[in-house]
Amino acid sequence: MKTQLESIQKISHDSILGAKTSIDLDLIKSKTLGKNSDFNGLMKLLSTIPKEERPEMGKLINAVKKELEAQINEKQKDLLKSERESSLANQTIDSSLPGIEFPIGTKHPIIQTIERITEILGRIGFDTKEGTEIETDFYNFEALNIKEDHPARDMHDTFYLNTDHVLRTHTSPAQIHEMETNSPPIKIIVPGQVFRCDSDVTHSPVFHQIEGLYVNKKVSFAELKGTLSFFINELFGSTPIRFRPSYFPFTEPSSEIDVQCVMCQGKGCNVCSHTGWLEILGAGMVNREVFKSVGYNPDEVQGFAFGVGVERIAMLMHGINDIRLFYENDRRFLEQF
Amino acid sequence: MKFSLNWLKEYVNISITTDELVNKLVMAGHEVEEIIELGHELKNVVTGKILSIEKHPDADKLVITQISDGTTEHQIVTGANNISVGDIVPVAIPGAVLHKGFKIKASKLRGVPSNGMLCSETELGLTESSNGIWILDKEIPVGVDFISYASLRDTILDVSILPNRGDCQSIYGLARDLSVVLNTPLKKLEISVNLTEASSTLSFSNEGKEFCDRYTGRIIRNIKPTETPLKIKRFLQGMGVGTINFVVDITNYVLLETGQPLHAFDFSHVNGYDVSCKQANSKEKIKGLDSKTYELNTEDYVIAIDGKAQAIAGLIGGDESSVKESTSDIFLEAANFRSAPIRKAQQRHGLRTESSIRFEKGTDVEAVERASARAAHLYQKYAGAVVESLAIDYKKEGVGSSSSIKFSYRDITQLIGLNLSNQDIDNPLRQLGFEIENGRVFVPSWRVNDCVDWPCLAEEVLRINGFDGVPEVLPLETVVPSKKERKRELRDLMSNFMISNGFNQVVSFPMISPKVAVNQDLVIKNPISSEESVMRADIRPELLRIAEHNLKRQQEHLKLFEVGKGFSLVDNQPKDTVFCEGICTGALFGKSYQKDVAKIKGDDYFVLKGYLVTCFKHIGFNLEFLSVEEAKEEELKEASLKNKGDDSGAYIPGKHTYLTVNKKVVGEFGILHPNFLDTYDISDQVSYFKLNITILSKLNVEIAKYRPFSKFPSTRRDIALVIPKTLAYDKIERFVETNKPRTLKKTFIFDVFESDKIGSDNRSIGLAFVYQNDKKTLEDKDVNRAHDKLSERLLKEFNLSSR
Ligand SMILES: [Zn+2]
Repeated sequence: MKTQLESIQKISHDSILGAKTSIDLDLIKSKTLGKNSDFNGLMKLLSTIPKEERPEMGKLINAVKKELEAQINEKQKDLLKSERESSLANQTIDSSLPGIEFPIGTKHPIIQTIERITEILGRIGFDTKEGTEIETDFYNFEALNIKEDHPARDMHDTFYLNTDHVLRTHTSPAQIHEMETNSPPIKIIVPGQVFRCDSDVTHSPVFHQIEGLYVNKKVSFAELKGTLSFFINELFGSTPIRFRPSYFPFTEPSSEIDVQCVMCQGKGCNVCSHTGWLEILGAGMVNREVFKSVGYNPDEVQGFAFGVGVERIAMLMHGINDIRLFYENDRRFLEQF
Repeated sequence: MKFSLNWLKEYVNISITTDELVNKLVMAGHEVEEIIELGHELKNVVTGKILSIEKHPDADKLVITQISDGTTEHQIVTGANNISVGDIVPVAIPGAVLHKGFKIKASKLRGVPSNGMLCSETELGLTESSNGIWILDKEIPVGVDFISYASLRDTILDVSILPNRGDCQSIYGLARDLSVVLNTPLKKLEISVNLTEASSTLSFSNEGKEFCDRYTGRIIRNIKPTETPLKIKRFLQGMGVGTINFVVDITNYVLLETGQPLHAFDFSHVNGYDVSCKQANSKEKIKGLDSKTYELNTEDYVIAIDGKAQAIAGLIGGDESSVKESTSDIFLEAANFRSAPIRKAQQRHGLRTESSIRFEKGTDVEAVERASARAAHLYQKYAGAVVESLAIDYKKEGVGSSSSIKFSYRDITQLIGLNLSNQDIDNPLRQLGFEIENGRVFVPSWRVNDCVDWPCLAEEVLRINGFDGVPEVLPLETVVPSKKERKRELRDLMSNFMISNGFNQVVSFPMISPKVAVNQDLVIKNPISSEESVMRADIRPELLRIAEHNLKRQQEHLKLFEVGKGFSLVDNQPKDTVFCEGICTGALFGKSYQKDVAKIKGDDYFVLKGYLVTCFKHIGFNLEFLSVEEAKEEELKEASLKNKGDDSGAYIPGKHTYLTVNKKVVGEFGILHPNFLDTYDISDQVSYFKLNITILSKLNVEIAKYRPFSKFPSTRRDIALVIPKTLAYDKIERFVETNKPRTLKKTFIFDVFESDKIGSDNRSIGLAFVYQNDKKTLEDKDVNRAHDKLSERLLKEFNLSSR
């Protein structure tokens, strides 16, 4: 019986090792250890041997069975692993094909520029507010010291509505609204669309401005200079800037602020009309007449105001040469930002 | 405004380069827009005398001339026919360079040697066209370098004069400012006249007290016929003013020089009459110097002689009384008119003249007499004229009295934010002509329109001392910012969601064409084009215009959105509403080689519906839907949406739904009707949505409260319902919601199909119910009991069958 067991063990061992596929092995398993297997037959014979030999023989048979089972499991693992490998090896892809393009949109460059600017000024405490596009003559002109016959009105090619209203020509009316509803200190910026009936490569009838206003008991031009220098530095890096005298009816003293041309580094080019400088801001100390028109006592408050042309800055930052591209909204344009 | 550098140099010494000068001007507030170099390429042009003129043997149209330049004779062949022997002309000798770099070499014309060229004004770059060779004054010496003799080289600076700096609208005015900037003395205008007693007294009456502050008239007689001196011509041409005749050229010259407009009347039209400044009669007509006829009304001020308008005051002289070639006696007007009425007159007549643009920004009342005398001086100097004392010398009461401003050094120092000594403030102001006395500053007559309050003095100090010394100080005061405006917060959240989901943000004009405007509440009275003349009620027309633009350029599979304003008129007051609107066309993922991906449509009703639900979840709202049939007009109006009638036909019927949050209408979406899209020439299917951010910003978002979730397994039961197509699913959903057992945690659709087997009027919807208990594992029998009861009620309620 022992010999028989050894022979079965030997044959089974060989066939297990010889199995080629996991399916083969399953068959071998049932042949070796299943109901009709020689092994099972041997088990049945156990009752025919002498009683005293039975425990030892039983132990032996069980040990062989365990060993075979372990061998089968081991082999099964190996076979499954290699079968999986070969199956994966058959499912090849060209990994250089592009991935699925998930739709991702774009933020309009004008909006990006406004966000950039409001973020910078927000850091030094300017709160962003909203204004209205449709204004009365009072808010757009009168209250800003641009009286009816003021020559500065010529600089504002105004759109008039059928309702005695105008489309605001600048964001400055927001100053008046803010001062009418709040008392100093005031520290705000107001981005928005403005309108002029004027149109060519550098002028669009609709464009964007950001108005800034700081009003307090005592405010100096030095603070205006500090604020704008900080702002321009943050926006353009440390580019040379210059303040030069200008005129706005609602500020006095007034100034325009140029940055060194980012296209030619000040050497002079078409973009800067060969001056080496680009005008990006108008600013000044709030005119005392403006304070009077909102009911403030000009001897008790001071302030500065500034206006930034958003398109101009966006054009400089992105190298855009035609303002109309912003409003054409061609996707090939939009997708670049 | 153009300024001749040569002319400026007559009054202020400029020893720096043009670039340095331009920089100084810009930093003093006089922006230089263009630098025009005149005659800088010219070379080797001398004056020559014509000694003889002979016929060319082989050409009828050419002549052979012998020219003397004083030392040498030159033979020059020319085609000119306006020359005669003895004429003095500009001669370009070989090696010369003329206008536009044209080089002159010795050559042969039809076989005859020609050593140079006789020049016209055009060839010297002075005029656009000319009639033949330039015949010079007989007095001009022969053989001189004509380029410098006639000041043919000049630099013209086109300066943008600020609206408050009317005082710089002249050579003398700019030179005055420049002399301070350059810290060099200003030369005086040369005025020395032999005055004769006025021969006749003329009466003047001012009926325009709100218009005319000063009026002078002077009679100048015996002006000999004179050629305008070359230098004066050059200066006029350089500043862009044409030459007409000596008398007129002098008035223009003095105007450009002093900024004070002058007008010369032919004295014969004035002699013996009354002069007045008065309002025109209604419909009175006057023919101007430009030969145009102007119809006047009572808002116009005129200079009338014997009651008849002979000039539109400050704007243009009349043709009838104008100076002619034969005029030798003139009545020279110098006056001061106020800017506001001149401005209006300019607009009324669509006319801006050298005079009116100066009055418009305000002129110096003290310059009136000076300019009159300066012109008289020139008439006498060049044409031996007899100059009389002023025949009219009118000054309105109070005009010209000095104006002063109270100020303190401390205020100026504080406003600038820089420690300045009193000297630092006094010096620039004194140089600019301000006088300082006991805390008051007396403003020079040429600055009274501009300087009315003390900050103006700070401006002048900054302008002259420069901005460079001003320190940079950050305002440290903290102003507690208001809460971020909810409208802006929502706009940002929505924009970010849209962008993350593939939408390209656009920015458009709020003015649209009346052809696509649903209403025309707000119309622009003076549009640039009618295509941009109506204020839009919402963004849809612009989105579709942009879609059309892109689709026509092979830009397909569009997903566009804009956050912008719509405008309307409420109780006759303009109102604006912030909308977020968008459109989709084509495939959701665009073109893709992955077929399953390419199949997903972007312009689909359910895709957009899903997007919107997700978007609202993102911003913290639970989005619900309201069918067109259920929506009430008041609700739509409140949400600034178009009423159904106005917008009928825009959507495909049945594919248009309103959006609600907390039962409030907040927007709409749907698939646009192909007929409607024909207006835009769009043939693609377009889905569209519109959200009212203004309304949404007023709705509360509850702060989320934690709800414990069950730790026990859930059990799912399905039911397939056969539903008539007329029954909307949301009715079933609502019924389940209100009748569900406590253990029903979730309901979802796992299948929708249509088939002939269930009848063409029906639709099958497979519903899955998920049951779960919070405290224990549910037993099958409990689930079955609950599910059967719910199913039964559902089928009975709607009279349905299940499959
Ligand atoms: Zn440049």
